[in-house]
Amino acid sequence: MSPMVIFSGAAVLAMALAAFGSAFSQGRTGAAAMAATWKKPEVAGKVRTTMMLALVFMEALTLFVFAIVFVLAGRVTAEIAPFTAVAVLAMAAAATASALAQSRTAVAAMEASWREPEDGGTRTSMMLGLVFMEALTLFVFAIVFVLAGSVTSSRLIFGSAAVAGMAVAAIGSATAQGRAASMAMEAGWKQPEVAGGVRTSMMLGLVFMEALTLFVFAIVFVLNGRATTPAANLFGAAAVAAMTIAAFGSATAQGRASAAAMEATWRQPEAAGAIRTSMMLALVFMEALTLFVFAIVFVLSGMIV
Amino acid sequence: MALASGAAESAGTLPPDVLFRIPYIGLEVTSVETTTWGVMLLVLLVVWLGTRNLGRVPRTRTQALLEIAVDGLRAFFAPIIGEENARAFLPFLGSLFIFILVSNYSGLLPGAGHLRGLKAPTSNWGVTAGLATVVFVAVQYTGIRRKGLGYFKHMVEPLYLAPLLLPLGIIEELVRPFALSLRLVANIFGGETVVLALLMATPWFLPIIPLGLELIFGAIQAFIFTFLTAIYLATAVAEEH
Repeated sequence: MSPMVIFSGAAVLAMALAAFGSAFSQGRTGAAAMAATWKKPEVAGKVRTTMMLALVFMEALTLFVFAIVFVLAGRVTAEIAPFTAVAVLAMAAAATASALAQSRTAVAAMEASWREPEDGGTRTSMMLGLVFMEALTLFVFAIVFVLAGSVTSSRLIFGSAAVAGMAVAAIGSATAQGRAASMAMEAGWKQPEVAGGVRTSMMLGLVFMEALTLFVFAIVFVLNGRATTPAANLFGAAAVAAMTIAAFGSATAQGRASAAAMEATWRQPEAAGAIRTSMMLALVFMEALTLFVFAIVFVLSGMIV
Repeated sequence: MALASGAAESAGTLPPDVLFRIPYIGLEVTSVETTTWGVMLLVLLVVWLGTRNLGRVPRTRTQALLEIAVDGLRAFFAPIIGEENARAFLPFLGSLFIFILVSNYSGLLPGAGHLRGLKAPTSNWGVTAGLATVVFVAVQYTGIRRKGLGYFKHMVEPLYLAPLLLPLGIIEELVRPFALSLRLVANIFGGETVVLALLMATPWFLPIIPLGLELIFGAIQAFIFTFLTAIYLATAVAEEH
């Protein structure tokens, strides 16, 4: 089979998956905007701007996949064809997960904007959340872009595992962020007087979940420099898989804890400060678990020759 | 391409990303450095123009603009870290924010990243790691200066958990600059490559969307970096809760 067939087949599937994910998310967001408009017609203008912003973010995710297909199309050779196929599908999976998480956040923001029309901070909070989720797909893009320049037939297994692993980590982080951010939107309208504090807590939570994908990003860079022998190539793949599993678990746990912190804040606004301190402490514990895996992978990868 | 390699050959043994070498000290200058200096000179020039003829009521538009910026930054940080902290840390936080913002936006100039001499400083891990190191030192220094050895108390409380909490606390302090710098560079580098790839694919219309998003991203990433710095500083000087 010609290498271009393998790549092109994967590329069209990837584009379709990304388009499906973006469209589905935009549909949910649009529907929520319509509902907000009939429930409170006087906020129609505001809701429309919020909706447009959210739709642009989701549209761009499919464009990112388009861009990576274009970049890789110029570099397909017989030896790296499997890598390019995995890479475009990984990008599509990450883009879909980002879009779905964004739509969850945007839907919650639409509800907040008709329930608490006076609060001007909803759109800002939503934008911040969407930027975090968009960034996850950007990280996968950056990894694919970098690896496309260094993958050869002797690094095929590591390269493919790296892009797939990044995508899985991004899916975990995005899903967790969507959960936490949508709960933050809800807390914002249920208890408007603590909306500012909720936004700060939300950002602190999102930062932790994003860091987990960044740790996978960093380990891929480290291993890419070391995957020069067949043994290191195989170890690199296993190491990325291990980091991915750890990051996915930590991110899921952090999403759950952060969402619970948002809920606790609107149920008991007086305890907002104590809740945030506890949340941060808990998130540090969950982050440390992935860092232990990072440390062991880092040390062992130096011993593989 | 031929032009670039020809220039590199005539200059001797320069690596491809090095523009020139400063004589006598042998320092290699890359596009990142030239742009960093450009950004610094631009910011200094605007600030110098705005402050050379200060009046109680702004006499120049630049002064009015700078006052809006300073007031805006203070009003932004005050609810997050408190009025007093916002006033104390504003020079540091504001400088970080403005430098990162202008650096991020320098990557949106046409040709940035592949014209020699123009590359967004924040798309280089060396630059963001440098910024994050400054933040790390500033946080530790401020905490110790304000609270003495009591600063380390937050790592060992409650005491019966100290053996577990101390290593975690130290790890967390060290991970912060790592994640802080990686977040900024991965975002700016990722955005830059997406725009570049789309420009190569279809130079018309399509890149508008990621370019517009990059405007938002550049501002929000500068904001997140300073926001986290502000939180770290405020935590370091916080009284017992």
